[in-house]
Amino acid sequence: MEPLDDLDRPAKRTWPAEGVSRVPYWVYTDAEVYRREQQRIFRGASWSYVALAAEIPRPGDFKRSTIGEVPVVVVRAADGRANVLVNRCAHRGVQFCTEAYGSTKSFMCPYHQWTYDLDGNLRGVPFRHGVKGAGGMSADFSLAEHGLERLAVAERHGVVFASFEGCMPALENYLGQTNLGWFDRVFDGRQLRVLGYQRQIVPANWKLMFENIKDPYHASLLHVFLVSFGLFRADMPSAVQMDASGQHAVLVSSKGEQKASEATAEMKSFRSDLTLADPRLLDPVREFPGSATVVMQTIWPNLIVQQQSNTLATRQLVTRGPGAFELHWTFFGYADDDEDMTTRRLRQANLMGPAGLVSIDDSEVLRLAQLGCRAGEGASALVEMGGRDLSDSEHIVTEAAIRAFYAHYRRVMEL
Amino acid sequence: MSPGGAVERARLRDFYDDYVAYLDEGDFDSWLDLFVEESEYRVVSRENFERGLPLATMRCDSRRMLADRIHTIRRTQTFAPRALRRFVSGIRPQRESDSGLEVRASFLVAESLGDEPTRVHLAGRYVDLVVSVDGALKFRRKVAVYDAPIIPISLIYPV
Repeated sequence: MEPLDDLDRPAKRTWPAEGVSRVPYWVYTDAEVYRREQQRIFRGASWSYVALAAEIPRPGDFKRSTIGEVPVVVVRAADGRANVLVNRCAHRGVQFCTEAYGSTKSFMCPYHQWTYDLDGNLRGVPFRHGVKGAGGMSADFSLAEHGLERLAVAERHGVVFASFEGCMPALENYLGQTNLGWFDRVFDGRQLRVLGYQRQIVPANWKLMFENIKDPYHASLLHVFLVSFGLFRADMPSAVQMDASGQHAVLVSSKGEQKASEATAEMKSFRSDLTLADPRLLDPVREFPGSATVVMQTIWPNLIVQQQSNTLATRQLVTRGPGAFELHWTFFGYADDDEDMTTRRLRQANLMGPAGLVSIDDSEVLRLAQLGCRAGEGASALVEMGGRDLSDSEHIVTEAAIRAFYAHYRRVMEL
Repeated sequence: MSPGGAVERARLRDFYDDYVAYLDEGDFDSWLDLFVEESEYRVVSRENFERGLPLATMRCDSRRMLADRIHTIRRTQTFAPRALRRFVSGIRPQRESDSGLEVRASFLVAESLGDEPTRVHLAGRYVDLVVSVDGALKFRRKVAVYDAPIIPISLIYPV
């Protein structure tokens, strides 16, 4: 039998000698690696995205969320702070909160009606002192010792993060100056307005989704829609920027025109004659400072922040075993958007999500990636586009952000 | 149209049967003909629909936009081959107003993807507005509200 603390021991796997220019396929399929990720990454020293503050504006408002695989409840406390509580009764482990959203004064487990306040403190245990002098909890039972597991919380400009690690660096330091700057570009302190949700489950390892957003190389080839309408192209001014650790990254680009160039000659998918009968689908207006029209940010370990033209969303990664992940998209705008802007965002949302004219390509390809690597014992993916280094670039023909991600991953996982 | 009449119920049934047959067979031109020009098409999660959140998973604000969706699926998107089969039941006319006849129905979509066994892809209800144009029924509004908040992999074709 394996010792209980096997996750603290050295991993049984050995990374290929070439380093992060190779990604061994077992990282996508191995159950032990997956368990180690849950422990070291999602329950470790990381800030996981859990909610937008606009989803829980008033005291008592709550929503269910997930960190890795752990179900949590995000609730606005009486004093206005957001609390993040593990959605697991201290008694018998029941997931006590079943509503996706709501408002409450307390949480009660349906099984034996143990009751908790909004800070997760245990407030009531029925028959605690027995019935007619018989039964009940031991005399030394203390409510104070049996509250819900409560996480550290960081909130910035309307975005709520949580961590199982008690002494995390401040979120601002965690993101680093460059990535904080891009984060603040979309989350600039204005009140957000949630437009709605889309969710999908993809039969692929969660890291493949992160890699996809860290890989601008594919976008110029796979996404015919983006390429053909000039929304993202290898020949447009672009950049890949990371923080010092490599765990976060941002891809930045700007809209070009729908015309052929030297680069489109290599894009078999370019359709110069593609037109829209109702062009209101793509009617972008500039709304942020600077020339960037696409900013895709990946924040370790579970958040993608999407700005493509005027469609804005957080995409939360939820792991479901080594072979599947869920992607929870929360589309938003700003409280001060006028009706035209809201309609524009809702129309452009057609590009994204499980039915997205762009993102369908990704979920479909990630499924194929998982099918390909699941029998790939001993083989590795090749990640050498843009060289073998981990540095920022002023172009998108690079996989440096994937290499940087795995450099960080290997440190955290000791792999 | 008198919504309660047996003849009208049969006519509605035929209309919905045509709708799913055209989609299942990939006869999108005939399918598009079942919408008036200024029509509204939505596929939306029950989660958004019931909470009054305006986001749809698929949103077309005219028949032209719907045609664009079909056109771009066929010309730009990468996806594995699959077969979809849609089942519609409980087609029930609701109230009739100047804007048309409200119709509710249940739908189920079965997806057969790649080498995998067939599975239920979506289940939900239609909340539609049907009008009669030169004797033919057309959708002025079609809203497919799917029950589960989560979609397996992707939703490529309309519901």
